[in-house]
Amino acid sequence: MGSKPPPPPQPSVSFKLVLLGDGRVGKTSLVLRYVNDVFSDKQEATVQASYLTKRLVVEGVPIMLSIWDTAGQEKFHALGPIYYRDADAALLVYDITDNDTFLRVTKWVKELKQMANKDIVMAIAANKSDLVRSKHIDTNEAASYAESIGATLFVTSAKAGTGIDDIFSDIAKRLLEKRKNSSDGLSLAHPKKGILIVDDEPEKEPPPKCCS
Amino acid sequence: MATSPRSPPGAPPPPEFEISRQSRLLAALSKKVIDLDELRMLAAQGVPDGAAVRPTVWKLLLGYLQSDRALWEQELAKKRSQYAAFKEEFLSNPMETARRQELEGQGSENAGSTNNGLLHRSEVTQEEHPLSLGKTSVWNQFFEYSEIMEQIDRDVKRTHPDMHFFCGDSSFAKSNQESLKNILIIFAKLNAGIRYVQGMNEILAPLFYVFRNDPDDKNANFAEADSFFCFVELLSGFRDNFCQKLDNSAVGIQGTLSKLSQLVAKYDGELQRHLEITTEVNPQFYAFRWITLLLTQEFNFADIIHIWDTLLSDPDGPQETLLRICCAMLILVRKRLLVGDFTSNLKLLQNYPPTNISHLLYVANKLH
Repeated sequence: MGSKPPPPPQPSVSFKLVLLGDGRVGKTSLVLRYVNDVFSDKQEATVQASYLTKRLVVEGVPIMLSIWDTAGQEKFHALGPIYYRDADAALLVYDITDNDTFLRVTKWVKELKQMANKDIVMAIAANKSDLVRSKHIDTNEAASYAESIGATLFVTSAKAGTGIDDIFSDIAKRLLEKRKNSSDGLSLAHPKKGILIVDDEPEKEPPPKCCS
Repeated sequence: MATSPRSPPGAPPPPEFEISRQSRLLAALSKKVIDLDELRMLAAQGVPDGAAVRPTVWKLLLGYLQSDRALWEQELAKKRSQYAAFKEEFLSNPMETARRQELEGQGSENAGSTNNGLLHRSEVTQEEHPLSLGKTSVWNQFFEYSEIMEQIDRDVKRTHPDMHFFCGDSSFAKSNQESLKNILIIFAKLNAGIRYVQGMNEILAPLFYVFRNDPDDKNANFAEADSFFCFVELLSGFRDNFCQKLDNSAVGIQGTLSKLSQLVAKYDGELQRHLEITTEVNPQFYAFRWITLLLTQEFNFADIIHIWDTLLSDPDGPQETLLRICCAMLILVRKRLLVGDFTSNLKLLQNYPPTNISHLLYVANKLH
C-alpha cells in the first residue's frame, strides 16, 4: 500500500468483541449506532453474524475493536461458538421491556463460562430504555446479577443513542487494563488470529475517551 | 492461471436477441402441453420483464402448474380452496372458533340435527377452558403458537422496509404484510419440525411480489394461496438449510458451505487458498446468508428477481445453480480479494458491491 497522507495512528492493540442476546433485542441497532451513528426502526433480522470494526482511543492508546454482531434466533445458536470462542469480550444485550430476554442473557453467560476464554470481559446492555416511560428504571435485579458474574451493566437506547459509547468504552478500558496486567504486556501485544488492523475504509477518528 | 475463467465484460444482449427470446418464451408457453425442459432452458437466461409471463413461468418451474394447460383451471381451483381451508383451520382465533361453534350449535338445534361433535357454549368442557393445560385445548395450541406468530409479525414488518409494496402505511402494503404473515403461520403450523426460522420471510417475499403483480387480476387476487404452495415447493428442495439438527450434516448448511469451498477450489484454487487459508475467511462468515436466503439480501430487488429466474430453472432444485452463482460472485471480485486481508475481504463479501447481474449469471453458467 502506498503512503496515505495523513497516516492514521496505527492501533497497537486490537480486541475481538462478540454481541450476544435474544432475537430482536437490538444487537444490530446497538452496534450500528456505535459504529456508524445511525438508527433504523426497521432493521432487518440478522441471520448471519456481521463483522464490523471500530477504532477508539482509550487513555491515549489507539485501539481497534473487531465486533461480531451475531444472529439472535435460537435456530442460529448452534453456529455461535465460532464467533465467541476466542473473543476477548462479550456484550450481552437484552430488551429492558421483556424479562424473557434477560433470562436468555443468563443462559449465554453459562455457555460462555463453559466454552469461551476463561477471563472474557463481559458487559450487559439493558437496551430499549426509550420504551420505558418512568424516569426511574429499575435494574436492581440485573445489576446484582451483573455484579455476581463480574460484568458491568449499562442502560442503553440505540434509538436515543444513550449509554452506548459508555458501554463500549467501559469494555475497552477493562480490556486494556487486563492486557497491561497480563504477562506479555502492551509492548508484546500480538494480534490475535483473524484480527488484522488494516482498514481500507476512511473512518473518523473518534475523540479520545479518557476520563477517570 | 488456467483455472481462473476469463470472460468478456458483460454486455447487455442486443435488442433483437431479447425480442427473440421473449417470443420463444411466449411460444413455449402457448403450447397445449408445455415442454418443461425447453421452458427451463429459456427461463434460465432470464424472463423478460416486458412479457408479463413471469408469474406463470415461476409456477411452472416450481411444479405448481402442470405442463398440460387444460388442467390448470381445475387444479388451481382445488389448491386455492385447499388454502382457504388451511386459513379457516389455522388462523381463526379461539374466540371466533368458540363463537362460531356456538352459532352452529344453535343452528343445528333449530334444525333439529346432530351437532357434528361441535360443542354448545353451555357444554364447554374442562378441556376447552382457556386455563386448561390439556394438549387438545384450542387455547393451549393458541398460546403455544402466539410466540411464533409474534416473531413472524415482527419479521414481516421489517421485510424489504424500503419498498412500498411491503412496507408503509398504505392499505396495499398492509394487506400484503397480512398475506405474508398468513402464509408463514400456516407453514409453521403444518411443519412442526421446522416451524418458523428467521429468513423464511425473505424467501417468501419475491414469490409473493411476483404473483401479486400478475397482470391477470384473478391470479393476482389469489397470490396468497399460490405463493403458499410455491413457497412449500421451493423450501422442500431446500429446507435442510433451515433445520438446526442437520446443521453439521452433509445435507445441512455446513455441508452446503463445504460444497461451495470445493467449487471455488476447483475453479480458482489460488482464490480459495487466499481466502480460507491466508486470510482465514471461513465461508460461513459470508456465504451462510447468501445460501440460506437465496441471495435475497445481497442485491436490489429487481436483480434478485432476475437471479431467481435462473435459480428456479434448475431442474434439481436451486442449490446447484445457487452455489455456482456464489462461486462466480467470488471470482468477479477476485482481484480485490487477493490483495485483501481478513477485515477488508470479509467486509467486501458481507456487503457485496452492485454488480451487472447478466454478467454474473454468465460467469456462473460457465462453471459447469
